[in-house]
Amino acid sequence: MRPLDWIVVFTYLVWIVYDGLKRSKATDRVEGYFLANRTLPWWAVGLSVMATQLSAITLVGTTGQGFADGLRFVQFYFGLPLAMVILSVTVVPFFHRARVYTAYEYLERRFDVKVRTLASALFLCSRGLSCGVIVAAPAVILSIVLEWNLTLTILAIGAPTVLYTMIGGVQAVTWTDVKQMVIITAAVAAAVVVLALDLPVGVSVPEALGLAGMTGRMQTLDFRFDLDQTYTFWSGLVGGLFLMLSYFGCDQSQVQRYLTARSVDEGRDSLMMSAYAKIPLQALILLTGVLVYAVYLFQPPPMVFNPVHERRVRASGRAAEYAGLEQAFARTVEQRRQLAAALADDRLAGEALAGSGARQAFVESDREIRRIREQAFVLIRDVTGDARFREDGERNYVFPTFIVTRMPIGLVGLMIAAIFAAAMSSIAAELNSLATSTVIDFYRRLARPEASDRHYLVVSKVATGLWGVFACVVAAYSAQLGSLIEVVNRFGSFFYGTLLGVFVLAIGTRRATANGAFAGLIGGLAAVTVVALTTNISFLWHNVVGCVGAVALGLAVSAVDRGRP
Amino acid sequence: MSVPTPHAGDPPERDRRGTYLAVILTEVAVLVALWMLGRSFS
Repeated sequence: MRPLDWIVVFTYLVWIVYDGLKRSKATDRVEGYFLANRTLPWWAVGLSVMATQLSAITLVGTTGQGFADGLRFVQFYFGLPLAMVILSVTVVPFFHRARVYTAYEYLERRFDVKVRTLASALFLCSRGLSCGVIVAAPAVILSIVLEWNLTLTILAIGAPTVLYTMIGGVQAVTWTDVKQMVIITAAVAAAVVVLALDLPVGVSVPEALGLAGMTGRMQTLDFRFDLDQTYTFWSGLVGGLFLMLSYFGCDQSQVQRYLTARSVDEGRDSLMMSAYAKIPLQALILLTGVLVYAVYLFQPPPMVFNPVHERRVRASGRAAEYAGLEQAFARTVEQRRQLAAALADDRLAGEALAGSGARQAFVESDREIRRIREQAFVLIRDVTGDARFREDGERNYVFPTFIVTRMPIGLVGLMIAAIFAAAMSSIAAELNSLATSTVIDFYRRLARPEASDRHYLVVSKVATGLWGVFACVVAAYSAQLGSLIEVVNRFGSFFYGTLLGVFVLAIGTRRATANGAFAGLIGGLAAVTVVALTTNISFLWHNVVGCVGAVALGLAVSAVDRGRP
Repeated sequence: MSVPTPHAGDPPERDRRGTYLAVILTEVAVLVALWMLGRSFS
């Protein structure tokens, strides 16, 4: 990074902390600190909802998905608009009119304290760990690509976020989310422009997309009904619907966003923003990754994007083998470049080459590049002993590498600031919601029910700070123990569908009893565990299994429960 | 399902059926556009 890029990143950090701290004026009571006294406009809440969901993992990982696989990943979000409509009709008026602080508080009103406590505890375990991963994932990538110290990178992301969230509460979270969402969108738009300009003279964006399309990267829809495939139309529409219902309807980090809205209508409008904008935004981020692929058709890409692993192999006894792979890679990349240029020229001249040998040779050279990279990954795994080093993890380094090697001065700083913004917006919302559940569902409900508002406000700030420290510690450890990230992601998909099932029992039927809901919560978790351990069914379907399992067992136990004298 | 009643002083809520229909129609239009994008660049 050049000095101008450092100035951009520092300016962003100072400005966002200043802006967050400025919002602490209206947070002298617990309702102001956690719910902004329910006064926020729909557009600010809507942008906060989107910023919370869009983490740095999304920004960096999704562009990597676009580079490697194309637009298919957008199917993951197909259930989202429908979920927003269902939630607007159901939980938004429920939670708003019930005047609750947390979604789980409603479960006690409908059932009893044990259902509320277990649901809230599941949220705290899952979100507390995932918050650490949200800090760790971008910190690891940035520290490797930019050669920064990992602990300092974790602190650079975590410390400012903890500071403004702790002092400014939900007001700080929401208004910084608004600015961070603008920065992220501007950075993605700037990246698309830079990528378009980075194509060779004579190759337009449609021609570049045409080349990417020949390798299948522009194919979005996959109508195969295969439960083992993660990204198909059906898994996105059905599994994704359950996941989004659960995430936006039962996860406190999202529920708290729309509880801050001025009215039921404004809460609904905030969700409608995501319903309209989420799929096009994700498609744009994926398209950015596809354009990175197109640029690397004409500029030689690195064989391996993770420089740390590459250096270790070069310094090992198998360096000559690696060099041989690099030579084969360079030859095939050059062959692909010539074929891509010829195909782009012919498209320009309006000649149809669809059935020609040039197109077939281009697609074959692209496959050969994949094969050579796979051989390099096997070699790296052998040399480093890192059995987890695979293409799907390596692709996370593609976009950051592109940023630091091909972006102009100043824009590198903006892109790094955008990655920071994506991470900080998600972390802030999660810290705020973790503190809310800790104080409202546990401390005020079980430990100190009669203390003053001032006391709870102080405890809320301390809880926010402690969760921030916890997230940074988890981040430091999960960066060293990479498999923890997988464990956390899997744990999240375990409990989401089940929690949704309990809310379906609470809101959707009067027949469910407290014991039935509690049994449903345990049964849903057990059902997902069995399915996850004994089948290859993709994790998106776990949400359906958990929800159906919890509702079925909950209703069955409720029927027995009601029959008792 | 019994939705809690609105509190005194809460603003009246708008009929949102048109908005929900628009969301669903927009999603269908986006899916068709993505499908056509895939066909155009294959």
